[in-house]
Amino acid sequence: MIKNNTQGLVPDEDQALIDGIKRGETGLFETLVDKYSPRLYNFGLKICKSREDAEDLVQESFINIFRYVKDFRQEASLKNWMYRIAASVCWKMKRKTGSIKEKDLSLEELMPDHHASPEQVPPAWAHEPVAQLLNQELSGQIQNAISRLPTPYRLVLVLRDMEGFSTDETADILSITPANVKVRLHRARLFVRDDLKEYYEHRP
Amino acid sequence: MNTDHNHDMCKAYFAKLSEFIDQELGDDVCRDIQKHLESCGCCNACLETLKKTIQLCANIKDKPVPSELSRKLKHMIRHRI
Repeated sequence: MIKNNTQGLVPDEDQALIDGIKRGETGLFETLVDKYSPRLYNFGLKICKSREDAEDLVQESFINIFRYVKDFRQEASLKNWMYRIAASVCWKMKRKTGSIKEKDLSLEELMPDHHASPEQVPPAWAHEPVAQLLNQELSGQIQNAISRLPTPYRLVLVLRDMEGFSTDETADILSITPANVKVRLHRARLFVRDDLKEYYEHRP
Repeated sequence: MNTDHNHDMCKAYFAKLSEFIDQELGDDVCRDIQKHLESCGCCNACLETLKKTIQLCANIKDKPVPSELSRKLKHMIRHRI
């Protein structure tokens, strides 16, 4: 492993890929696609509104990756750099479709009213094992809630809680502060939690 | 569990529940929140449901890349480079 300048490590295999591509071994682009397209496609599915948009995001991301990989300076890991490109493509696609301004999430609105609905004990689903809860229906319910999050919140929740990036890595990928990541993440989680709470309360 | 306590601190601690779960707070704040949770059923219920929400999000299964997309990507490599 080669130690990175800032955070994380560049795995040997990624280093070899980058070095090979920089030397002009274009065949290695295919290796890069094989290795990272599953991650970028699933990232796209989580942050885009449709499968078609996710596919467009992956293609546009790889076009940019191929274009700029020769200038990649290893200030971040290759994986983080690719996610930074994908996140920026996501914003570009959003601007292109002229999507309307999204509503901000207010902490006040997400805070349960202790006096109006005093939930004194956690509901049963909070204690059930994940494997028992997470069927196709619930997965769909969660993905639907995530898709209704305003984009800045959705990106943070997906990167932190689904793609496994740390607070600092997420801040770096999205070019925002770690404090901002924490604020957005908390509100995004509360939004999804509210949706799940409602789902379980109205289940037959 | 004391259900008759003053909820004044709930709002302040509610804002920090994710950082509490992610262990991103200092020891003093963690201790204060832990103490509050022991006496506040509402905040404790919120914490437990929030933890489960995070676990559920983390465990949603990935989907395979459609073969048509893989084909398009390979085609793109051959024709653009």
